[in-house]
Amino acid sequence: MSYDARSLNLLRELTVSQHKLKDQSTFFGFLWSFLNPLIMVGVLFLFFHHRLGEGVDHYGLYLLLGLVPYTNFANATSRSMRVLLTLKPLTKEAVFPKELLVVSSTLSHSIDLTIAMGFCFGAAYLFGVKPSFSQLYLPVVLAVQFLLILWVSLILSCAFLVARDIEHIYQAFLRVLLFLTPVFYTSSFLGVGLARQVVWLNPLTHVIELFRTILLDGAVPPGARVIELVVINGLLAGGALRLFKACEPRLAEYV
Amino acid sequence: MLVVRGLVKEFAAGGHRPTVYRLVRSLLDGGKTSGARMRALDGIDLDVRTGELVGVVGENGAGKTTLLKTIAGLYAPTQGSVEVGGEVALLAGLGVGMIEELSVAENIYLYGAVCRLRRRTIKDRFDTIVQWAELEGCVDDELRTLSSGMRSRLAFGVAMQITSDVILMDEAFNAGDGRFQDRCEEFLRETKGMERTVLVATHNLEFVSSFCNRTLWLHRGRQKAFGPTEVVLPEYRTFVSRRVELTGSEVDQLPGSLRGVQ
Repeated sequence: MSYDARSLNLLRELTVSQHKLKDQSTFFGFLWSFLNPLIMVGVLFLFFHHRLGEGVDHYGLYLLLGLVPYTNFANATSRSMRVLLTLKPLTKEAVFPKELLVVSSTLSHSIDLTIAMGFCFGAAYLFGVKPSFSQLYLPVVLAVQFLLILWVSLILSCAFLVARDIEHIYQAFLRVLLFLTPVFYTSSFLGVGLARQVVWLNPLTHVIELFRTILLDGAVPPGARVIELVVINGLLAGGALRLFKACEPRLAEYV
Repeated sequence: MLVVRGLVKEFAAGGHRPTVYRLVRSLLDGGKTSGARMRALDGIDLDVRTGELVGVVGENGAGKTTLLKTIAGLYAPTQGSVEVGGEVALLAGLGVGMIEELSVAENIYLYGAVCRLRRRTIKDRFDTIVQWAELEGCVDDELRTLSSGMRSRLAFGVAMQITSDVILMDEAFNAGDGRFQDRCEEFLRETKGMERTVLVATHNLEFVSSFCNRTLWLHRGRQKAFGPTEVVLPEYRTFVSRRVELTGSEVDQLPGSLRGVQ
């Protein structure tokens, strides 16, 4: 089944409806996408700012710019992994390209991240970081995070239907990932050993570093690194989509 | 146009949820422990021409829904082939994907998108849909405040706008009151004149008798008969009326005389 204007219309409707429903009955609504990491920032700042935050300008903002993308990644991939089951009637009884369900879930979380990054932008200003042209790179980094979440979600959503244990395994992995991502420590804290190499293999590390370069340092990120991340995550998203399409004829049976 | 050849569809029997353990065990022993299989469809052959309206009848568990979902591409055939000339729409349960917490207007756009309609089409026909569903005063109300009859009307009002070449209906118009069903039938009468192929799985034999050119009779996944409605339907009615008197293997033997009907 090919994509056309009707697929785009469906993607739009699914994204908007999922986004509306997510925080519909809550008092703070979409603000939770920012408030949630903010509460965690308070806790981490209290315990770590003397040791791990030493020598870091605006450690609170440093934490925020690590936690917001990490929390978004964790929430988005966890929800998108389950989306074929959450929207079971659509998976089982409607005829359209099913990857649209995963893409719409990912997009609805990208809206959250964009709003949360708007707040981070405001926070950076309060911390004294001056607005600059480098911040025009923000949409590109948001796109990289979208592609990263997309390829992980496409793979997880298929794997989850085939074996439901994946959800528990992935939740455990996310807890480990918090420590494998420089959210509350700096790269220099890791030294030059194996730990540093492991952390640099984590694609989320690079996205977070880009957000910090733009919003914390107010600097333009290296163009080559940005292109590299767009290409790698784009290729991985393409590969994950092919895998998803190969599994698609079996999805309705496994739901 | 729709051509089905030697269609077989099997599912894992017992409905055990897959786990990592079962998956690994199955991979290690080459699928020997992947469990028993249940054959839901067994050797279905169909040739349906453009413009035909075909009724699919059979008892519960006969394979009607499985057949429609396999033709729609939701299930991959275990054996055999399905060839569809054009785009397929499946109406298996009206209002699939509609959301209780969203308004009637939002659900029209959402369900319209699920039915593969363009946004422009939905916008242009919005008032017609609302009028057909008789929901003029409730456009901003949440869907959950509507009765099941009102929801059925709303969903059918949207589904009527579908322009697909092949439409598969699974008990789509059994909801609602008599008036709603009359209006659905009116729509199907109009559809019959269009260049569309329609398959309707139903227990409503009066509907099949009135609208369907040909009828497919399924029994326990097998094709008992496929032919002109005036030939197949009386045999099926006989089967249903005698069904209460017969059990087990006798039931399997009953319609054997119809196997050759095409």
